[in-house]
Amino acid sequence: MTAVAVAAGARIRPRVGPGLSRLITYTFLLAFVLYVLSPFLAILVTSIAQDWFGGRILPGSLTLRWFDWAFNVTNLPGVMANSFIIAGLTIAISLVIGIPTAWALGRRHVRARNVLMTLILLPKTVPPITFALGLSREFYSFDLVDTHLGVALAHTTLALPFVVLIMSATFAGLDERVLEAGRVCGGNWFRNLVHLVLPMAMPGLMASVLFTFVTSFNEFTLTLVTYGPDTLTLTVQTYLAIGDGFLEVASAISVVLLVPSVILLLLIQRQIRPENILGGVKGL
Amino acid sequence: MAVQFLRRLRSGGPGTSSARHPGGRAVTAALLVPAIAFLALFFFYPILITFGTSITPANGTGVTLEEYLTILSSPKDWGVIALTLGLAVGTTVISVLLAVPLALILRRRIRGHRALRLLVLAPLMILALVSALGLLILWDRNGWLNLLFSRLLPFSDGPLQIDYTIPGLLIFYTWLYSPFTILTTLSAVEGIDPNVEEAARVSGAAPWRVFRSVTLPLAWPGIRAGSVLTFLLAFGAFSVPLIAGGNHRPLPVLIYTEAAVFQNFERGSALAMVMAVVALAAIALYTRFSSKPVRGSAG
Amino acid sequence: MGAMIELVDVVKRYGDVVACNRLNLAVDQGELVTLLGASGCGKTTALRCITGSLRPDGGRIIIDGRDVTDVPTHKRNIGVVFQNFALFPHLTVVDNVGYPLRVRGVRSAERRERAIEALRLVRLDGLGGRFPRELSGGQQQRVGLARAIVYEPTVILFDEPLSNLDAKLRLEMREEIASLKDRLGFTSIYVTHDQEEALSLSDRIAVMKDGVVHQVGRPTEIYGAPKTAFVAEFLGNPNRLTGVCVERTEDQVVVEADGQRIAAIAESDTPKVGERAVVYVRPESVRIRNGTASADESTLRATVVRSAFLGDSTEYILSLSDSVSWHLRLEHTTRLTVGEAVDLSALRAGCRAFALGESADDGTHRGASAEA
Repeated sequence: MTAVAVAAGARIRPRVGPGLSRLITYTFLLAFVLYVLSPFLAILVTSIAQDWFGGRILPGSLTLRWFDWAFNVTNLPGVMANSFIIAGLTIAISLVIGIPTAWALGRRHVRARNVLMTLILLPKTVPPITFALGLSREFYSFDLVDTHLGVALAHTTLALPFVVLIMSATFAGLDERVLEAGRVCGGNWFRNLVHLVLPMAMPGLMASVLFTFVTSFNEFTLTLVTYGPDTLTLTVQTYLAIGDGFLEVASAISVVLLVPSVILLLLIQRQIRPENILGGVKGL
Repeated sequence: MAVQFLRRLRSGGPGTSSARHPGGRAVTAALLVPAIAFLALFFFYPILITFGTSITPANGTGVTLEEYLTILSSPKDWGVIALTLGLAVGTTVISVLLAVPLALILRRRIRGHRALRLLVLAPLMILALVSALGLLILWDRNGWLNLLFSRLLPFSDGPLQIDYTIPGLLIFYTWLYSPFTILTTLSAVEGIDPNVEEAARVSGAAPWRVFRSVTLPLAWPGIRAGSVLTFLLAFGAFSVPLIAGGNHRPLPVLIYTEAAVFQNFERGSALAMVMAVVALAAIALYTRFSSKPVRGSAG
Repeated sequence: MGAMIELVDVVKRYGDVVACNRLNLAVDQGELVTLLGASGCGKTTALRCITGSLRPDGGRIIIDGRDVTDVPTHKRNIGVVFQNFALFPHLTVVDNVGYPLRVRGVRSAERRERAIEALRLVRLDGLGGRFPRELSGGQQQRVGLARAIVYEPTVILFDEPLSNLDAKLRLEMREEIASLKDRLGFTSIYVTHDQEEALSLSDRIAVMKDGVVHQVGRPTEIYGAPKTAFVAEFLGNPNRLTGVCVERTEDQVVVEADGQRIAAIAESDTPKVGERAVVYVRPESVRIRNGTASADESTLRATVVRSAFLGDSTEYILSLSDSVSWHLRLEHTTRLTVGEAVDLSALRAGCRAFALGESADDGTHRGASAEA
């Protein structure tokens, strides 16, 4: 039995070359790992560093002062609350608006489906800065600037295409026979929704919620043109701290920002195929 | 065209929908209205405003193309467009060069490949600004890398200036945007039947030849799909060049500076329009010219 | 003429598992030798050692007098026909077939000519412009075949080439390979788990189990004179009877089981008197006794348990005892009814006896629990 398994494994594994190519391979991997990880390391060390100059490899001493600054001077709890409120609003708006459209695109006959899908995806195709100025002007005239709702609406423009994309694919993939069985068994549409559609669409729904959250939480461009003193988010606060030259404080804020991202990353790698992430979750 | 391409990439092809549900067009329309209305209000209308602003004279009414003419006749603005495109193309090329060997290594499922896959995802999940800050600290004149270089290369004169330079921006951009290319390349490479490559080997093709004539053409659709995203994101990058670009200001930074700092909304809007057009044109060109693999057919 | 391809003491291990244990095999010019065995027996590992995608832990591989053990795959000049066809999906059929010529630097015009000629040989003329995905499975495997013969490699390896085809196509392709071999005279190693394929195609068969070759020989030898219990069990779907050896003479051994006695030919692995033994009986050597048994036949009593109509014949399941049942295929001229008691005659020439010593697991996996 073991022999079978091993032989099958060997079938897909191309031969790993001898010494030199192995050395090159692992050097390359090591370089890649360091390349990806080193900025995080730099931030972590900076956020607790004191007396770190003059060519020292590690700081002279460690301190939690920058976190203290971040929390008290820059009102980090308040800023964090803003970020979470806005992300929550963005999730709610995106799902409420996106799901009916996704259902129509995924399961109903829509004549101009391709054109429509193209239009809906357009906000992910052109850089946000191209409509940020207009959005800012519009928000001024609507009095939406510096409101949680306003910033969330701005974020929704980027999250919505992704929600529609994921959910329409999810709905299109629902097994018609199962839904049919539900109807045959006499369930009304609400029962079918709760007991059949919802569980089957759950992975897509989870993906939508996660990525909408990440999109909003990390969004920068559109936040910068719609925020105000009452809607300062973590990203803008980080930007301001860097702009002011307080790299240590900015690092401390960044460490705080990293926490939800890392948690999400760990969640996602179990739940979702990497291809799905390509919906583009990045705040530019 | 570009957008269609993206859609195809993400949804796994058109025609996956079903038209089995009764209820009529009215219901369908009602379901579609919210999203369309939303995007009309908060995406298309802002673009319209931007366009309107760009053709309105600074003081008064009427229509003018002055801002566009200024941009088109300014070598400096052309330079900015070239810089933006150059950074995007450079990032895309480096990403592909990074993605292909990485995918070839990861497909072997070497020890720790899961951790490496997770690591590839990391830049996707993390705010660009945060990583840019980390990179800034890292590549600082007194940062770790310069310390390392000064130990390894004692004869070099002075610290290496990477932050606020174009190579620095490329390093930063690649860090941020290469994962898109890496992920699609990886899934494309892993989708290749190893027997097909084995068939090439037994046919007498040396490793490099197998790579060039079989592996690469078969992985190409995946490489292309991801690199379009890398290109798009690098082209539109804003926060990173804003804090790490120094005197190098790609279009998004210029647009923001003109509008927010100099309150010149007309010029900012015109630049934004130019950027949108260039973005769509660049992607259209890219998808057209990359549709054939490097050396696709034999014969 | 010397061997075209030779495996000498080839060893391949995966951790603690030995996939190939001192494998020795020599294939002569123009010969087709089959590696036959169940999955996991090491036949695919052996094949991959020959192609060079695996490096053996010990032993040598010699192709056409050249030690290629350390020669990379692409310099071995071998052809492979794959189970899953492994065509280049991005190339047309004619470019697929021309690929080996292209990497050998053959000029475009000649390449095309030779590719078309190879396609004609596998009877695929006129399909050269298509892509593999536009062909049926059988056609794809013909392209695979054409690609493997077009550059006249020293040896062609067949890696279960018919497994991905349906039954009818399998038969057709088997014919195709046999006729190509007759016409072109290539040297080949053929890996399969299908005994019928092996028996019908091969010049010689090597039966493998657990990384070891149990027997090498012509199909008739392997079938008619199996050297080990495993070989007897693996080929020809025999009936079996497990008991104790009660008599042993120059030319026969007699095994007794549940009060029935059966005589078998005595050979290498013959059990001693008093030893536990298994007898394998070829179905075609068993008949319903009418009249008296001849001197070289054993008589056994059985009860008809079940019958299955097969069209041209009927297969009966016969019970010899609580734990032993045999199958017997009969023409419609003889009819049995379920529950009927019959006397069977087993021709001694079709019976082989093997000792169930320490190698009790050899080929007895199916009956083991019944005997325990």
